[in-house]
Amino acid sequence: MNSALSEILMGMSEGLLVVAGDGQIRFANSAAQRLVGLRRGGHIPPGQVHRSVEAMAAGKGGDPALITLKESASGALKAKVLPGLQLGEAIVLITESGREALVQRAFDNLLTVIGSDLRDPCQRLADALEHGPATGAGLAQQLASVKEVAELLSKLIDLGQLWGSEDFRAEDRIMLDVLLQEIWSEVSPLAVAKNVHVAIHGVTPDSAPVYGSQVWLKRALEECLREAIQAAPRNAKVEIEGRQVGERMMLVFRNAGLYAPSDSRHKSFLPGPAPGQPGRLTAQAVIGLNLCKRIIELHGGSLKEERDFDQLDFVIDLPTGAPYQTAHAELDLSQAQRYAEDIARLLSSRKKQRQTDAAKEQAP
Amino acid sequence: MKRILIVEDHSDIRGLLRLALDFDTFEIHEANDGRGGLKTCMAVLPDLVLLDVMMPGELDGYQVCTRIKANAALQHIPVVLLTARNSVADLEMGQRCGADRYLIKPFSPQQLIEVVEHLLASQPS
Repeated sequence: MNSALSEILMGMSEGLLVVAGDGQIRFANSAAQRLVGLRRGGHIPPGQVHRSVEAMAAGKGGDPALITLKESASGALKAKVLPGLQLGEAIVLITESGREALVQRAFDNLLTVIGSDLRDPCQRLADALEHGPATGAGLAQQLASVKEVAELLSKLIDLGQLWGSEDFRAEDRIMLDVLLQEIWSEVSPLAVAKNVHVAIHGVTPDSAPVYGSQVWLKRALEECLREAIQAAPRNAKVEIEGRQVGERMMLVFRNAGLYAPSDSRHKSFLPGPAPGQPGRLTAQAVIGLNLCKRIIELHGGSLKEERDFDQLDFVIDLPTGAPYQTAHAELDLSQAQRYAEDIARLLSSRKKQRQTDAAKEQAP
Repeated sequence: MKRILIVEDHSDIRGLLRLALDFDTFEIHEANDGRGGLKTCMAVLPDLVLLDVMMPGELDGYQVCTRIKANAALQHIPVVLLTARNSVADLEMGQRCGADRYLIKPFSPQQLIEVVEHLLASQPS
């Protein structure tokens, strides 16, 4: 594909896949990779979209129909299969319906968070300080409240920084065993204080490296572990299990209490009950979860929930061995172009050399 | 005929490397990821390996190189790492994993041929 066209399609807010008749993906823009996790070289899974692609690529497709891929309270993910630019190909457009409503709800929720979790504690602190400096337990409580506000502000700033960006432009080589040990050394005082046991399996020095931002990935995984420990009851066990599945590393955080009960987690974009009421998620947890999701997405991965009877696991999957972003591919493309030019010059000089050699041989 | 193994995930780049080396009539073998590269290396016992550093999959180039150099049957094979990563830390990483040369992208076919010929010439016959 022409590089200018590729760049234009990459920047589209809707997902776009160019797919061969057999379901192999020839092009996937950033939005498609984020929305459905499919990349160039991969295959469309069997199902309605695959069948439509097959028919459309063979020139037998009818009018494009909207196929629902996923539906939830927050919106739906839909695919439309269109004829390709050439026979033997089809284009799949992926759109998120209900996105505007989702953004509005998220904004409303953000205002609630700013009011109840940032303004109100500051107001309470100001009121208390008007009555003179606190001592003992009162002072400790005030300090904890200020720390919580600062931590929440820091998460909001991080989330704001990441929201509009498409990639990190970072290609740090990250060994997950080292990263998890670093995180553990920072989180262990909390685990010790709560008597929560943390076990890490399947992540060794031989595990595949992840390429991306060491700082941000540490932020995400630390958040996951910290929240898992916070949510776990005393004497509980939090397990982190690493599994290499093809080109991706799955990190499973096993803990039924991670973040918050699942029924309230599904409403994380909805304005919840009033502060202090049962069922209300803390702003820290909601913002933290969204921050983690965004960081993982920017690494080409995903953060999903997996239910196993009454146990709820969080599964992070990350591509390994190479960076996710397109910067690497662009570099290789420029390398390829330079190579083509150099090889043409090399061919030409060798041809001349051969002609000279042949002329010398023929000379008496 | 000397055997060269190219381990590179981008088929276009593999093709161009092959094209550059074909002039000198090498026997070229290819793999598109680290695991496949290691397997082919053990099967073919090449005279030289051209190894991309960042490849999607279970093993990146550094890990493949480390395993080649840790294997008694393979450790004599010169390994050339091909990468755009050019920080001091990356070069040190290349040394630590035992790579014989580190070619920083973008490099010219002429540079590649020179490195390949030099390494092959310095090998005991």
